Amino acid sequence: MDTLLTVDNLQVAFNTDDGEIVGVENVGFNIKKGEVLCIVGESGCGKSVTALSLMGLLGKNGFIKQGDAFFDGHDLRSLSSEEMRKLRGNRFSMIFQEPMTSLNPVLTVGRQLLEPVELHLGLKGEAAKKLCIEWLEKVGIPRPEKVFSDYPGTLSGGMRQRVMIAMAMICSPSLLIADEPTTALDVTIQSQILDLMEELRLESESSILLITHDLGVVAETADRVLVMYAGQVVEEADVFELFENPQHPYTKGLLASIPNVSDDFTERLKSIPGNVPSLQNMPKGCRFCERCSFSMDVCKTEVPPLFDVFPNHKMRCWLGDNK
Amino acid sequence: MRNQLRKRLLITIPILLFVTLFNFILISLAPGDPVDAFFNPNATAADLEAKRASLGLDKPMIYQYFVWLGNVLHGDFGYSYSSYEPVTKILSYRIGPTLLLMGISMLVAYIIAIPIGIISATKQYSALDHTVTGLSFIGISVPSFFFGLFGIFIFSLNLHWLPTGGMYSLGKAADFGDRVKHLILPVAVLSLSISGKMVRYVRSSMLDVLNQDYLRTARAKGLKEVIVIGRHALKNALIPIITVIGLDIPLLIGGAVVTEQIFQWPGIGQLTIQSINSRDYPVLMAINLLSALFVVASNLLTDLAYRIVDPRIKE
Amino acid sequence: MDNSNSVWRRFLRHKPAMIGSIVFALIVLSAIFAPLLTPYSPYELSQSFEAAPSSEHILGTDLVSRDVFTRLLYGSRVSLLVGVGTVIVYVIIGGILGTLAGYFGGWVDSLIMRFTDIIMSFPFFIVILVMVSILGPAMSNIIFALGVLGWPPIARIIRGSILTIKNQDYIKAGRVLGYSDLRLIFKHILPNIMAPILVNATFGVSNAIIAESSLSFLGMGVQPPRSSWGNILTDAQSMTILAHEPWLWVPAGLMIVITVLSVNFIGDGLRDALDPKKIQ
Repeated sequence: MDTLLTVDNLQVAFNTDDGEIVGVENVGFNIKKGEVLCIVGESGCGKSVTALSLMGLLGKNGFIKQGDAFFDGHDLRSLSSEEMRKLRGNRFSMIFQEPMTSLNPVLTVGRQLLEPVELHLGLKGEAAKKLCIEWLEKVGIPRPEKVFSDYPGTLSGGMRQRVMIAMAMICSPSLLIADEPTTALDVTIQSQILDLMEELRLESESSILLITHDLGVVAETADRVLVMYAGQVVEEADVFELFENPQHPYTKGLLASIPNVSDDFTERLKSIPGNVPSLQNMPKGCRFCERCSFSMDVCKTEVPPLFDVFPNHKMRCWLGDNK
Repeated sequence: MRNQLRKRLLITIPILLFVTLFNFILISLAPGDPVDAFFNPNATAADLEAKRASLGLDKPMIYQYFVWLGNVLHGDFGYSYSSYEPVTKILSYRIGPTLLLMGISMLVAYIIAIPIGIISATKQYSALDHTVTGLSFIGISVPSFFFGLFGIFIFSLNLHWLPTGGMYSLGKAADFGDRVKHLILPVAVLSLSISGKMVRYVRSSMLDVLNQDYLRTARAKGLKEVIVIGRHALKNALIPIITVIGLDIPLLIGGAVVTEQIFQWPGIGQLTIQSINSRDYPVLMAINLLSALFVVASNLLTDLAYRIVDPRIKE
Repeated sequence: MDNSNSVWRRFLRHKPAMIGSIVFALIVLSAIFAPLLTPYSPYELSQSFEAAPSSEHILGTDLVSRDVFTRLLYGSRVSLLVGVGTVIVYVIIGGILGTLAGYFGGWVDSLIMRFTDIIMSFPFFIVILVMVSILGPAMSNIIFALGVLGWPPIARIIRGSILTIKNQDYIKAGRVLGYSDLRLIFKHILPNIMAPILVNATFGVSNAIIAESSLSFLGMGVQPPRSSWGNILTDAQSMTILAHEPWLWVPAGLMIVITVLSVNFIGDGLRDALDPKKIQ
């Protein structure tokens, strides 16, 4: 399969009142055409920042400090903001965590859906409207003609996320970035939305970069998985490999903390002790070492590189050094 | 929505009753007797008594109020104590100039304040933003009479560009250019008194909107920044501002009193001061009712506009 | 509150607010120590009428030969008293009504809020003009009139804050523990709504100062011979004074602007420092 997106050694920083803060560093991955890559990690680990930086949506204070990002032959870092804008919503698009606030409350669903169609596809009038209604139908919205002229306030969270998906997919992008698309939704709605995304992906052969903290979602959707911790990638593997043969102590901890129906209920749920270090005072060596039960002397002083522990399986841990 | 509106309409009645009753009680507390101002000092006590009876002033205050109210409902505001003309006639001369002054001032204030507030918010913490916030602070801190005097001092007395006051020069009542010249300073003063506040409102409302998720969505679609701001942000930011416009009206009436006094603008504001000085209570009562009506009506209108513009209110 | 330290630090970092505080402190001090700062009394007549500034009278003399600088100093007392007095009156009225409405709810709430709506629909300035002209243009009456009509925003702020706080768990817990309503109001609710009240009150001071000076300017406020910045400016309605004797009106106007500006800066700094959205 061809590679669609290549990210290498990405570092994202923010200007704050207290100086520059690095939010994400040493992030690298590939997404092949038609593949689903999941980035998983706790909130604040830098997964959303990674996605927003690729979209060029970091806001005034954030910027990519170093690294490379190639998307479908475009060097994203060398594109002007105008060229970037033309790709956004067109060749790659994004949906967000909060469907309740992600749609503009004072513009109709139709108006918001028409925007990318008119802008990127150049369709006008009835043809544009017809496409929008087709898509509303495709994402499972009942009475699409009516919803087209309604305001988002009349829709439930699940329905709004469907609208968001239609909006993101309507120009048939080759990459969809979905940032916690189901987190704010009820469990039953969650799986419907994931099924819908999977269905659309198969149909359009686009790739998905799915960001989540939910390992259940990962297991259900991912081809490959990237585990992030405190602004760094700590492990990368195929989904089956990762679940069956986790290597990094943090990944093991994450997997152990999933409750299982077959578990002995007299036992307490496992959790990882301690807290994520803050961006302002990162440890000198491995960022996980203070919470890690395998911690060695070298972990406190030296930052571990990404070791290839198995074919197609990397991890950032000194335990991988001798393998 | 219709129910809510009916409720709003119904509440205007107690508001108007309360405002007029409040003023009526206040005026009945006034020391001195309006009849004193009426007659020459040679009038006998019996003459005064007769006059008082003819004005209904010998009856209890509450009775007088209902008589007044009954007359008002028939369109009769009584006669001015000082010029003996019907109050309605006096008001009819005065209302036009005031509406002209207030209308143009509001228009000018919003035309200037709204774009400036928006631009300032989109360029938060820039030099432009700091200048705008600084100037808006000065705008809300300079009393309008001082600003007016300063304007006269510079543009009338030193530069001789503009007249010091009045609505038109003698014999030039029909000259449009002359009218405009007379309007410039009063309009500048009155619009400044509300635009400083408006700039701050627009800016903070816009800043709120700029942090909303739906703007990120709009950008993620690849929309041009002009459309992100002009279509997605602007409409959301302007809706709360409609309410503020309604709240500005009482402020504007107060500003009009001061402005008209400084520039001898022959409107309701100047009439208020004259009527207070001459204890012309029928005129004062009418002015109070009229301005309360104006406030209530504008509140109702902004409420209505808000409901029409904001789709979130419809259920 | 345990974040009072950081609030204070944010306030100190707010440059305009610090400048405003210093200027305002200077104005308050000069109002208090006015007799020490000038050899004249504000009512004392001199030999010269409408004299231009000189070493003897640094801001000249007025129409009846009194020292303008002295009258400015004493005039600051009026502005400050009216500004602070008005706010005290309306915070008390608004505080009581807002607390009653928010805490008891039901018909008490709707009655008080309808009344608040009514007062907010008053053509504020015209009613105050009538009030002051009938009660007599004394300083106490100005404070009374401005206070009696100025309370609705405070009442609304307090009612709104109480409604949100009332449903929070620690207040419910207090009720379950059997604390009396009054105790709950004063011990738990009021400390939590001090921030918005403080900010509103600060801007209230500057609004009252402007209102008083406007009334006095129109001749409906503080009456001569007592001096107020507003009534000093009344003389400038004469075109000769306006054109040729700027010392009679420019300093008084500037004093109003400087004072109001410094109070507004303090208010802005307080708002930024107390804004919970900025506390993270």
